[in-house]
Amino acid sequence: MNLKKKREALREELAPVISNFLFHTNEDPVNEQKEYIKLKIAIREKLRYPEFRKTLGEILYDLQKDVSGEVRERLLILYRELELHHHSLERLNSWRWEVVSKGIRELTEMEVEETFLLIAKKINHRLAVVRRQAELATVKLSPKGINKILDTAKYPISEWQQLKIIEALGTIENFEPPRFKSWLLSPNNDVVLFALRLMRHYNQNDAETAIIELVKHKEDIIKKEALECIKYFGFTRSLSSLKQIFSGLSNGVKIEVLNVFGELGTDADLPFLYHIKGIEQEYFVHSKVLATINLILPDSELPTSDIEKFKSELPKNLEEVTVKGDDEEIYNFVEWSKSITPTKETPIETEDVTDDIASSVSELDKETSDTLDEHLSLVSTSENDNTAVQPKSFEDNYSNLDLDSREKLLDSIEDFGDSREQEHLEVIVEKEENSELRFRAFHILKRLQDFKNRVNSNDVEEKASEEEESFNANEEGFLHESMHSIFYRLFQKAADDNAKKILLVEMQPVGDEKEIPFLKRLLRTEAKTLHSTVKETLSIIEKRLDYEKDEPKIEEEHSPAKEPSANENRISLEMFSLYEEIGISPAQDTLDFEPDFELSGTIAERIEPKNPKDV
Amino acid sequence: MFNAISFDGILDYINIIFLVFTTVLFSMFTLMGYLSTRNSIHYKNKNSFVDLSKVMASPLAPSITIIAPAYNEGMTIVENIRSLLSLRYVNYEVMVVNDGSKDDTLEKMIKAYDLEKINFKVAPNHKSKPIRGVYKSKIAAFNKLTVIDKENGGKSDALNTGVQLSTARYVGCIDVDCLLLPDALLHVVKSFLQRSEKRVIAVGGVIRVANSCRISGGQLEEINLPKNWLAKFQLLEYTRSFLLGRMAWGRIDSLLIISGAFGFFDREIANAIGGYDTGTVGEDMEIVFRMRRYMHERNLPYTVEYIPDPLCWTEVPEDLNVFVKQRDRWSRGNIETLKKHKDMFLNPKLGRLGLLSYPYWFFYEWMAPLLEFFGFFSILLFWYLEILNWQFFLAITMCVYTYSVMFSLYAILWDTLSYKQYTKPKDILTLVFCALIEPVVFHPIVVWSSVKGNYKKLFKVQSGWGSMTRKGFSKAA
Repeated sequence: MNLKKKREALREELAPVISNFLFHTNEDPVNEQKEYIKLKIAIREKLRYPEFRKTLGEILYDLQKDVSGEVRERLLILYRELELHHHSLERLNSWRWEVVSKGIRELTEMEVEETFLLIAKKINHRLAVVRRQAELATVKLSPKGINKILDTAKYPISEWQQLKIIEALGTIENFEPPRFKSWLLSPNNDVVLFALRLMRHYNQNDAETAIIELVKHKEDIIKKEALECIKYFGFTRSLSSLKQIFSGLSNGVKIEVLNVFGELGTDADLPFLYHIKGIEQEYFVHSKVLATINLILPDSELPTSDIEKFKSELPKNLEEVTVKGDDEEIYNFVEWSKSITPTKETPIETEDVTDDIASSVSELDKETSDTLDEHLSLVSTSENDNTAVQPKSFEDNYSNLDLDSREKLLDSIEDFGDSREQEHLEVIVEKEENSELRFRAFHILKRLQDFKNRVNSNDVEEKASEEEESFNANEEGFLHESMHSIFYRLFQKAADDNAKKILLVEMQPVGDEKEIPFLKRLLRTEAKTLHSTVKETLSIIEKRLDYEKDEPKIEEEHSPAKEPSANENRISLEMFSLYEEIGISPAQDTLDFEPDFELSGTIAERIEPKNPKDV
Repeated sequence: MFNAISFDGILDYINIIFLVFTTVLFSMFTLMGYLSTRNSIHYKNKNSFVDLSKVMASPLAPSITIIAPAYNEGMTIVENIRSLLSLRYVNYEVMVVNDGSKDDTLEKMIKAYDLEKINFKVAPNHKSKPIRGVYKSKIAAFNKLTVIDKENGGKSDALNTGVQLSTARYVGCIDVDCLLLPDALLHVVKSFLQRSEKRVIAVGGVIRVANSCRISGGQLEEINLPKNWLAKFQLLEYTRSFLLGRMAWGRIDSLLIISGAFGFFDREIANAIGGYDTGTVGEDMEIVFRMRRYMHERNLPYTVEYIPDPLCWTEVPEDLNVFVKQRDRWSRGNIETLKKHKDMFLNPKLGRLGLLSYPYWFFYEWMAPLLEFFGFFSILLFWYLEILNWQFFLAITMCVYTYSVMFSLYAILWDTLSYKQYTKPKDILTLVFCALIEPVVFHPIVVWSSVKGNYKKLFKVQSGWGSMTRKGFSKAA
């Protein structure tokens, strides 16, 4: 008889015995009590045989699916008393994912809560299948399991998995959900998404501000989920914020925003919607605006009565397609094909922020150049053109702009501006005649000031808390000179003293004056074991620099004037084109800006300071 | 003498070409068998822990629109819609697109489901024919049903209309005569949502043969082997193709075709590429090509999922003429798609798609039937010229025959063990018998159909879709 058949025979033999065992009570007759004790002893004796243990475990596992209530509890107790869960625990160490997964499932179904932490460790397992199983088990084994997942999950959590976890949470008795808003700032986007969905599921509407802020998240999917929450919870306060960011959103998110307006909007929002209706080119967004207006103001855009009159008011150049209903009412459907970009050419929004910026800049260029060229004196960007026109002041240029261009300028500042635009915004607030624009400018200015204040206050707190942070910024917001060294970051990432020593040795032949403050600082802060190497490196670099100073500098006369430091000339890339167009000189108190992408040749040339002789 | 040597040399070259071609084919098929087995095992193990039904009622379940184009389906339409409306899923809509049927398809739907024309704002549809009306049922129980009545424009045109009118996150493009099992949408949604690092742009599945099965009230009650022999051969072919072929391509994420009878797409991507191409009869293959290229060119992480569970059942042709027309059309669709995307051929920028999938389709889906056809005539010619090496010919023929039979038997075995659709010994023996005689009975018809399609395409013989005579599920038993 092979092993499989033996096991089946054993199963057949044991199954009814176990059933009797489980249904036994103390009120049974004496004979049965005696039988019960004998049975118990017999089972215990046989437990030393691994095959018996395994088969018994399987029987109990299968049986628990078919029983409930007190009997099930008794079964679970028996399973643990006989220590049958050890076999499942062993499965957790298998190299085969399906075995590990089975082990997790057995321990979960048999409610071996002691294994919670052991299983929770597998939330970040390298295999997705095991991760998923561990996540579900974690939730089922402990009411705090969901916290553990949201706290520790480093990998993405698929939507399907989220649905299953929510389902698993629903099965926990007297489950008290934590406040999921705590995870809205998680670095794992899927955790943020999951937290939003959980908040919706458990009606947690205590994070209005945070959810509204999430509409500004860089990921469209999070924006959409946040908008779903806004709609679900009826956060009407979000509407003004949504109006401000609307123009910068992708079409998919715009449609979601319009859904929110459709749900929460009032007559007060109609001017905004009509404005969007007037400027929006994309068909689906345009249609959505019409539908939204119609929701707020029924029969206004898509009337169901007096259709003939409405039809006659339609512009004649629009081709109209009509379909008649049973009641012979005609509803209109305008053929937008001539004015709409074919869908196949619609690019999918990528998640690359630099792409967004680049496209925004180019779009800005396109949109503004035609109108601005007519009104503004331009600074020539041609390399051969040495007769650069003296730029006019911002105030003069701004006053020459028409309403549309002024609006676009404000849009751009709103989307890309930072503290450097405060000065210009003050001018706009002072000079702007249009009350709506003036109000917007004031709003943006206030926001920038608030932001700056927040940043400053954060800096103060950090300074107070750690000595290390005192090196991060001086009064002007620049990096401490010891941090100018390229080795500064490398040093921070060095794992141990040996790595640091290697870095110091590497520094000796290549280091220059930027390294000196850094090395001096190391002498004060680092452990004594490094002091000798630091001193040696410092003296080598100083000697080499003295030697170089003594060398005759033949090239110096012909070399360009000393390049200003990066901070002096940096200009926000997003604003560069616009500044060029309307002749704004960059403000000098710039924050440190280090683009982490390659500049196109033209822009790089434009940013690069030119030799004074060429100007 | 020179001529003799030259002729021998040419023969040698032909032999070498055929030998290499056959060797690569055998290797590919062996690899497919291995990969599909791995994928099936993985799929079964992975799914053993999932209780789909629990997720069904979740308020977070994404929306799906099932688009079913109907053309002259009056005989079966009511029953088929009933089947579609009885799926187990919380958030779905059935959109039947009546593609200018000449029979009473629309009238039957209106009568059976108490439909009324509604006012409906229609999105611009550049490719689709004008819409004549949109219908909804007056009965609340059928509120999931929407019927679009439009002028005739072909299957692709009808599907495009549905894709554009849908507002759901996913769209399912199916043949209206298909029978979906109640859990089909749950499996589809799971496939769409289970990936976290890649976007699933399309999901396809196995098509099973419903001829002779007992179906009542839109439900599959009893699975039977088809009584018709042509249908039996097709069943064997489908089993081999779906369970081994596509499963293997799915394993290496290089699946290039999703059956038009059961294909689900991410609506955003389907819209972004402009929907189905109305200029081809192989639209189901072509759309996958374009969707893949769209994602690939934008460097977006994506995948196409394949579900091996038997979720979709359909009638296959039992009439030889209808069958030949169907295969002729498939062949033309294949050529059109390969021609349209010829720049993919050995294109390293497209990775496995360009270096593996496309060449496979080129050599073994398009060229293989042609080579077989010309090979057959070459043998006749060599025999006539008395230069046929009988010993070698018989050896290679037996080798090919044995291999193809073994491949079919492996498919039957795997199907019987894994999916247990045909469990009666008589059915299994019948399938084995089909596998034994298929290479000499059924396969030549397939090759002939393919050659016919190639001929039509080459000489631009006008030919459309052909028509499929349906018996109707309810009458099939």
